[in-house]
Amino acid sequence: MGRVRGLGTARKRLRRHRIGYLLVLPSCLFVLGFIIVPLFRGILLSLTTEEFGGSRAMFVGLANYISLIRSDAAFWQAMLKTLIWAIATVTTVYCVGLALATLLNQDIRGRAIFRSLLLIPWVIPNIVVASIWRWMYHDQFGFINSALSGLRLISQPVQWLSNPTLAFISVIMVFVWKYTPFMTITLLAGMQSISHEYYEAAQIDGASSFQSFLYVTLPLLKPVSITSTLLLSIWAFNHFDILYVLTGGGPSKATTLLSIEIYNRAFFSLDIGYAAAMGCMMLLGLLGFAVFYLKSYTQPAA
Amino acid sequence: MRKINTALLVLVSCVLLAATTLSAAPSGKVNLRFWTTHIYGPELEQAMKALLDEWHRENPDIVVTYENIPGGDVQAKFMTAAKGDSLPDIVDGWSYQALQLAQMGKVLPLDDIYAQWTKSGELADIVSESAYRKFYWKGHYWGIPWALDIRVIAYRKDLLEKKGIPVPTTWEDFEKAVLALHDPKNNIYGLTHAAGFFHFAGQTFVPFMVQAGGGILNKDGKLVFATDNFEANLKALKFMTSFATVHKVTPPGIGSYDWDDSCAIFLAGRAAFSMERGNVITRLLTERPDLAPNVRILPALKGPAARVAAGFCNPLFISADTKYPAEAKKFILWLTDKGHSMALFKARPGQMWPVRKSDYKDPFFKSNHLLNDVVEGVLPYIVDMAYPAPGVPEMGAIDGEKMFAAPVNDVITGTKTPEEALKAAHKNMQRVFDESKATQTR
Repeated sequence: MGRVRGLGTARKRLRRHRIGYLLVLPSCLFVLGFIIVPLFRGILLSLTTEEFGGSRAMFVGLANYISLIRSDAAFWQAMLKTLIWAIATVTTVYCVGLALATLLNQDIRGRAIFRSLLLIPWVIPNIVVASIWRWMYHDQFGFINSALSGLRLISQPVQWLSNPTLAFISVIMVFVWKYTPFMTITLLAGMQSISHEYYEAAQIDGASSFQSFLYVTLPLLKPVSITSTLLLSIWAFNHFDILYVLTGGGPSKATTLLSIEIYNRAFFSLDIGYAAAMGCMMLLGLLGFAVFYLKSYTQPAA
Repeated sequence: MRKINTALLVLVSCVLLAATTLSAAPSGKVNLRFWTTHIYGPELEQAMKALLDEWHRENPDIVVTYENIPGGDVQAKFMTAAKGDSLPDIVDGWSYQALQLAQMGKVLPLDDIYAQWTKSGELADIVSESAYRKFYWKGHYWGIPWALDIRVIAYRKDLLEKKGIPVPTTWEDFEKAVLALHDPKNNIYGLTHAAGFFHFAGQTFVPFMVQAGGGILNKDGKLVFATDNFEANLKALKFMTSFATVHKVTPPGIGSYDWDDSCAIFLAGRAAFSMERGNVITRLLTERPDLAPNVRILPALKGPAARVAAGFCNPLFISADTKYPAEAKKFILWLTDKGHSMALFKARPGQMWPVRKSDYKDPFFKSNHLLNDVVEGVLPYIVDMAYPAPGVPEMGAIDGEKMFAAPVNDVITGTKTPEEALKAAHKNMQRVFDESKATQTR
């Protein structure tokens, strides 16, 4: 009886909110078709020996994962590089973004122009960014070496992209250049939503500018910081195009991140079962990081 | 409420109707989709359109629509299309894509075309046996040769003459000439080439390996890169990289260069010798016409074991899922017929090269000293990257994952010794063969 009544209520609710349900239906179908189904398909693929022909796929359980964990040195090297890359890029982008946002939050002349100019790297497509920086880093014709040489800071051209360590730092700088505007604008928006009353109260209590920044701005920016750094971490972890065009993953695989390793495995070796397992490992890592990160920053203070 | 529902229904119906109308083929006509991977740049696009106009005048009932796939998208797009059973009817693909896709059962065998060509004598008109043998796998031909992509060494004739040095033909002469023309005072490097972690580094390594008597595979298609051919390949790797690591006569940054970076140095007049694609001819003629008369193309070098150059033949092939195999074959036969694609070869001189010997009788190839140098000194000696093996689908992954570019890059950036670099590359290549074998036994 109760079940029948429940069904009746559900039906009534459905009828009452029909338009609402109809309006969210396309979004739900989109998420289902383009996110949920591919995700589960990817997980299923990772349990098979699926190749790009599809006809010879066999269910192998966790064999791909075991092989990855036990004996794939290239995977672990790429994973380690991806971790270092993600930590270095996110930290640098956050620090630079915070500094720029603080500057642009001041009442300085031409603030609107600076804010607009700052967006330029963010709106340039990644492939174009990679091509521009490729030429900027060129040891013979590049702007950076010319500028450094013009300032008499170097006597020999610096090998920005052919020295493995320097190449890794160089690609980090490109990522920082590209993604700093996003961080700056987000943090700036966060700063502008902080009420002036807090700063006035701090001033009355005798706080210096730095203390205000440390004890008012930073804590109140926490929600924005968490969201933006989490987003940036995901982008950094999944990053592919700038690196692939700029260095091809070289020199000597120094900039081969997990995304490049997965791409090669899937589209050249055509081993999509194994590549899917690599992708799932990456997803697991990211999920674990996101949960840990959100938990540790959203827990109420003791 | 009813009005809103009716409006939604009408909207959905309109969208469906429009979609159906747009996808409908003109009645009575066959529509063929053609994906190309080499028709980039306005000149080639125009030539291709003109060629298709000619085809449509002769064959009004077979409509061919071509789409050029940008380089960066090619592999992912082709493989996902194959997986989704949506490969186009006809494909102008990369060197080993025909075999990779054949391995997946996605390509139509073209043995009947080869039988026809053997009978008519046209097969003997192909520039070299390796140009079509590479498409032979498991008893069938999976692609037909269409255009060549060549690797050459361009050099500054004026600088060579100034020093009174003859045109080098052997490794020893080449080394002497490069060292002699290295002129740091005048900002001229002896040699430039791309040794970054890109495909080009491997493709320029190929002729040196074969010149030394080595190579990646043996004639049975077995991997011998760092086993039977270890000594020869080591000799080749040491020779090729010595210009950067021992003699230091190359730009110091070549360990990060792709082809464009190196070519820019040569076009700027800052290198005496440069390992290049055939496309350097187009760039010289269009970007540096003042420099072009002073540049020549070096004849294929003679190494300790052989005189060869690298030339990779790109295929035309047909999807196994096409509904119109007869029409698709008719089109690729027309396209590869003597002289038909000449407009493409002329559109950007040096970028695409004919595969038929008879096409080289066209006065166009004599009209320019650079083209003529290639025809006389390079084309007769070209070998494929899998030389001396016949078709080996695994070469798609080996080239695609830049496995034989890696040793050049590793040695030049100082991260591995030549011995270590060869062995590491062999290990990666062996993984591809092992996985392929496992797949075939399943």
